[in-house]
Amino acid sequence: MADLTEQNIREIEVLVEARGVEMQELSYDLVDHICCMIEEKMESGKNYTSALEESIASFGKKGIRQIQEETTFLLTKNILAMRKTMHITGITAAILLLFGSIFKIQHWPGAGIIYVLGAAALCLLFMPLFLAVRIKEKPGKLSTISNIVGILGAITLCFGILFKIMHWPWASILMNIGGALLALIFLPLYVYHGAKTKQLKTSTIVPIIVAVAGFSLMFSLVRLQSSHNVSISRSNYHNNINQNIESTIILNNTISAELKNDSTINSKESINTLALKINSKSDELCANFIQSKLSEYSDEDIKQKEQTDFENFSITMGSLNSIQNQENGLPQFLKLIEEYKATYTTITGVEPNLLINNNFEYYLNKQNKMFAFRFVLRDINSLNLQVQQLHTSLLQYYKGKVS
Amino acid sequence: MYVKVMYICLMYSKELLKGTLKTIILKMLSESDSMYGYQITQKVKEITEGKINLTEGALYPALHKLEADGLLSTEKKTVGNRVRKYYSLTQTGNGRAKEKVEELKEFMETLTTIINLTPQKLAWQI
Repeated sequence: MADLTEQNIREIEVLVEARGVEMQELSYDLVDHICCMIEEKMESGKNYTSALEESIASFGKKGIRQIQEETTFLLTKNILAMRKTMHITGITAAILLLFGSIFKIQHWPGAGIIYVLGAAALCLLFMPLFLAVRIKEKPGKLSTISNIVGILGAITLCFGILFKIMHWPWASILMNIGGALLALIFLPLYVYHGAKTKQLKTSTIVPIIVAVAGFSLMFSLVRLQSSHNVSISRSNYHNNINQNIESTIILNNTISAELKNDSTINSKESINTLALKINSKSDELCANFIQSKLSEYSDEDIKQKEQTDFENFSITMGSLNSIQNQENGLPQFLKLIEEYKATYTTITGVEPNLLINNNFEYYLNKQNKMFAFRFVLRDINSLNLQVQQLHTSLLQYYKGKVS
Repeated sequence: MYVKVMYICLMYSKELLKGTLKTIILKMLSESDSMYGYQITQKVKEITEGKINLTEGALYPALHKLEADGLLSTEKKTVGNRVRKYYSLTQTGNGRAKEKVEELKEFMETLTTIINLTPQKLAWQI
């Protein structure tokens, strides 16, 4: 029998692969079959090249590819129902998530429920089904392991993102675990498996590129809180408000000292006392809110953090409970401000216009547990600043009137 | 041209072969310990004097399906610088081969009675 050389065999392997045969087991069969055909033709006097051409041609133009398609079809016929369910749950999940995100962006009610249902359908129905189908379609130890790791990673990552959106605990941990599983275990396995089964070509490389590039882009998008300039301006804004309050208080004290004999301004229950009360209440609320999260830090440390690392400080989530107390919390603060407004109106005959942010409704709602330092401190401080500046104008108005 | 016509004439239609392909494969394998794909096609050709020509497109998908169903097992051997897969019947496959062959035999007998019906008989039955 005319033996084919290793080079001949390699050539036939490449030809079979180039015609789209990806199943290793089928590839063994077909390569051997073609070799047998060639050997038979060579025995009847043909040379290798023409025997090869004839053998390949006898399959027809797409014949070799069709053998694989037919094989896959026969092997997967019994999981057709499973595939159908997988498609339906996948489409449902995608639609739910799409609507959930639209509702979320528009702040329409029900966004949370739609989102949770969508993510649950995706993670608990679609992905396990997808895994089962993949395992049945592509058996083999290595690909099974990489499929399991990949799906587990994807499920964890999806839940992490869901938790993040819903402001549930453990979100970051879940996202990190999921991301690590995908990037550090699944991807290398996928590449290794692709290289081992000689499938490292466009259909394998493109998904890898898309996955790595897409993941990096998304990661930086999520991780980069804001640009350097924005964070500096935010920090400056925070410091400005505090400095403004400080200097306004000093100014107010100076003016009121000049009016110290005036009982309307300086008596115990006077408007001046009220303004100072509001200021100290504002300081107290801010301190309580910071303490609710950073209780283990000393005041010095907190000051330090606020000054040098405002970006991280500002995104820390404080507990709203610490300022929701009816007796000495935000309600009390707002009540003092109402009192101030009323007194101001009695003295000047003009109702003052203070801008009270909508956020306060959120802070006062006991169902809301956590919120970022940045917003709560900003809203309390800027309201305080408004009152103090209003007070300056009142004192100056009064001073002018008296003299 | 001549060769092509001959080739088609010698072959039974695809539809006829379709239902019996698995049985043919199981029967072939039950006759020997193990066979590889090309060997099966050649053997069938030889036995049927070229009247039945199993194509690769039909044989290999069927072999893989039978293997996935647990009726066949494979063994890889290196022959002439390449991997050759030998297929053999498993215990379940052995039993199934007998069942399938019996079933086909009965079917063929039934078919024969249908085919041998004379026009008179048909008329009488109506």
